[in-house]
Amino acid sequence: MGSDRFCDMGRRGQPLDRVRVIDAHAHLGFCQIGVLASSAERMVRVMDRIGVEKVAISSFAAIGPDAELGNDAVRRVVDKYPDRFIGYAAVNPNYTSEVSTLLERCFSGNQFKAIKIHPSFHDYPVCGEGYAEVYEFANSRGIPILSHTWGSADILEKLATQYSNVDFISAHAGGYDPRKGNDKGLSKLLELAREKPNVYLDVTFSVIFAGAFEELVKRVGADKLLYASDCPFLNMPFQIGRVLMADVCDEVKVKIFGQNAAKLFKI
Amino acid sequence: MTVERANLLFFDSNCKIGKSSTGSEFMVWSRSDLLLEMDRLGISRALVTHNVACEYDPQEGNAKLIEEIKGESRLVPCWVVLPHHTGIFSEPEQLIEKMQKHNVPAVRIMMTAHNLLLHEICLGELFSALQSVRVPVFLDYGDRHWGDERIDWTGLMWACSTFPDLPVILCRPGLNINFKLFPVMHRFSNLHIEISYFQVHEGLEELTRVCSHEQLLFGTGMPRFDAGAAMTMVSYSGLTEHEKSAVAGGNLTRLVEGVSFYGK
Repeated sequence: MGSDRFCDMGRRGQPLDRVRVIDAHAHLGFCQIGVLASSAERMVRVMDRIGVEKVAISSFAAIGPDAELGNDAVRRVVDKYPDRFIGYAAVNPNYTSEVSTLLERCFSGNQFKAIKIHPSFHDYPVCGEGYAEVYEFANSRGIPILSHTWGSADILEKLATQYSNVDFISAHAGGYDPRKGNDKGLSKLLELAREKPNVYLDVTFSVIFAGAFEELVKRVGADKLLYASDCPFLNMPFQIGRVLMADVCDEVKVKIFGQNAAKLFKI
Repeated sequence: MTVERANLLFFDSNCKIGKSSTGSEFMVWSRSDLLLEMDRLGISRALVTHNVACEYDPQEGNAKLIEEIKGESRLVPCWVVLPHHTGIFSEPEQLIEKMQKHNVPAVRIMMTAHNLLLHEICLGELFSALQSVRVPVFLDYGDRHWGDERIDWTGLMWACSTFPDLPVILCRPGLNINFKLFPVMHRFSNLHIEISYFQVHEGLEELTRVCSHEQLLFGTGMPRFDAGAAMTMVSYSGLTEHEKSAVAGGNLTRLVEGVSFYGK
């Protein structure tokens, strides 16, 4: 068996120690797609089993029908567990007139450290008018933005250049299939993350293709990847294994587990 | 105080060997590479099917499998089979004789790839024969995304109810089928799932509210999919250490050793 101490902990289900683990992309609340046991209390139980210090959450309600309802729920959870959860403020650009009020309210306190947008669920273009206010707000305050998708590497590059005070996180890079590594669109995204200082990738996805994570590390570099679980949509113990059991050195794992996210969220 | 936990003995119930149509150099497709990866991660044994059997000719692939894993006790063969009415495979009793000769304790039915009916008319005789020797049957609906559900639930319930002593294993169920899966697992104790893609938050724990942990089998989906995460899904679950040990490898060991002719 490999001598990597992280692999050893993973095989035995030993809570991770001597490493900060910050999950950069997770959720709160009920999701129609068969999500179970989605309370904050149960998430904390799972976090304790694994040794996850903090989880950054957006509410399914907020990336769904009601942003205010969802953001309020996140606020309450972060107030209850201030050392365990970080809030993503989510907005629905279809209700453009509410965007600035919602964001002002969210960032008047300290529960929220970043913004989450979901152009797919909200069926709204990334460069649409409703999001322009979001980017301006984030840029004025240096707030990171995570999106389920940025549409294309070209669009993301344009936004990252225009709003250079925003750290842009592109979700679900963990779905990268190294067999398709020469796909132009994908290659461009990986190159962008590697080269552009304010572009990051989170590594959650429902499957892990063989060799995918190791290849991502080679192509993007350890400094621009963020561990994430998408819990409770996905299984946190499974998602931790992507990094924990990977065939990369411990130093890389430590960066991706939490060092990068700590810098991003300033925690 | 940190409680030190012992290593679990992992026995992979969903592993393939051999090149694949959509394979790549990133996939550990050869026997030697597979064993190396199992060593790196700490997987003790694997139930393996040959990709040529899954994607091309089952007879040729099954023969290739036996040849390629010969002498390696850590790799246990699983054959792709078809019902005899296709003319491609022999009558069930003759198939079982052949399985006994080569010590093959499990079969995989390619439900989607072979477009089979999960019904008496198509699989009844085969299942009856397999039940008589307690050979576990893996139902393979392909490496689909969780949003692409293809399981024939009515057929599944027919199989489990008609053949209560036949271990039926659903390969790679995804995360959006809970509301169907739970009552079916509760009703049929001979229905198992291979958990490589059961990406449900607290899924293993929640399932054991409605069914036995003995119905859960560790699997990875190697070589196409990464194996490490499937291991941590078990090791970091909220199951008891006894349950984890069973899911990791004990359950599959019991099923394989329960085959009347296996190892004899």
